[in-house]
Amino acid sequence: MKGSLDNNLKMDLKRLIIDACDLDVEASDIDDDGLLFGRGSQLGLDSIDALQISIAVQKYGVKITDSKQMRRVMASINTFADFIRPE
Amino acid sequence: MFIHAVSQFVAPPAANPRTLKEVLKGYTDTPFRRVNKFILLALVGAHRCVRGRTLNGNASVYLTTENGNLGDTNNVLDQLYRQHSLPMPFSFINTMSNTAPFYVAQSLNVLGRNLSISGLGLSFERGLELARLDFDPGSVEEALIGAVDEAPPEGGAVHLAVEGSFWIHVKKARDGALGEVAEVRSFPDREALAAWCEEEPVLPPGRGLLACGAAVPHEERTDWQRRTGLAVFDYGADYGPFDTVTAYGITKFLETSPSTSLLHINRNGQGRYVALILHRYGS
Repeated sequence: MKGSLDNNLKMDLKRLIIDACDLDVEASDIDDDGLLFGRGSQLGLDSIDALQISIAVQKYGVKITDSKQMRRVMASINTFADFIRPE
Repeated sequence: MFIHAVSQFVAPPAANPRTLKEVLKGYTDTPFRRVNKFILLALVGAHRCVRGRTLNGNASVYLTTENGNLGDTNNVLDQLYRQHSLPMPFSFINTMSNTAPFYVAQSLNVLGRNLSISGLGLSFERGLELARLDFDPGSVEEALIGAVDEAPPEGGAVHLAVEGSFWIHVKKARDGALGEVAEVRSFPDREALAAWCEEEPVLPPGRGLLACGAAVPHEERTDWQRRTGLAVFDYGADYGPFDTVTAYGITKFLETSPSTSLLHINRNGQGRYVALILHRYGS
């Protein structure tokens, strides 16, 4: 099952992001399709947050190795979940 | 260098960052993210000292500390050498010595000198010394001077009962001041300090108090009391030794003593001494 179809995985990712990035929001407030990074995005995360998440997410056995990949993978919770579990 | 406000924040070592964030919300609406315990201790103490007043935009921040970001430094070293992994970026950034005073200055909207100072058992004294050097020629006219240290991580060789953050707000202007840092003098050894004490009465006997830093042995304290003829102001028994205990004692004197003066003597492990003289004005 693709990650974007697994609500438990997506909830785990939201909690990981909240914890890793020291955010004061509830996991349920994060929209699966909403942008995570940049001004005007739902969380307003930046490149340092992306680095923090890229280290924290290694517990899933994945590595994000370059910034272009990072931007693409972490665009939203759905894209992030699909990266963790493509199929 | 006139003292206009002081603050004390003492916390048990187990206080976690979330608790400190809640405390901080009592002083400022500014949200803080990516901050660690050390930075939060600094912010709580500094904001408690300022208490909503607006500082001059050119005010400086001197943050003194014995150990700096101890917890995150420990985390980063653990991640690198025990877990053989990359350090978490927030932790890595926060190990830099000037992160905490940066957050203090940013949140208080001040753009003056911003320094983190450590000085081998005499950190707070060195911060006062440096601030006076900046005040005397008029380079700085307003500053926050703080002492911040977190307790060593659990399981370490050293256990301390408390950790803390202690700040004074100083200005060149006297109007409205509650006291004054009248003297900050360094000595290479005990004999040099004794000679200074004998040159002229540091404070007139009976007209002030004597306090000694945590590293001054008991028998030596008795000797300083005999030499100066001053009554003792003892703050060391309140919480036992901890890294910012000198700043605790100074701020306690300024917060609780009646109108009087204080001679504070401290030494470090290398046998160097610093004497401070503070005056507390009547309210």
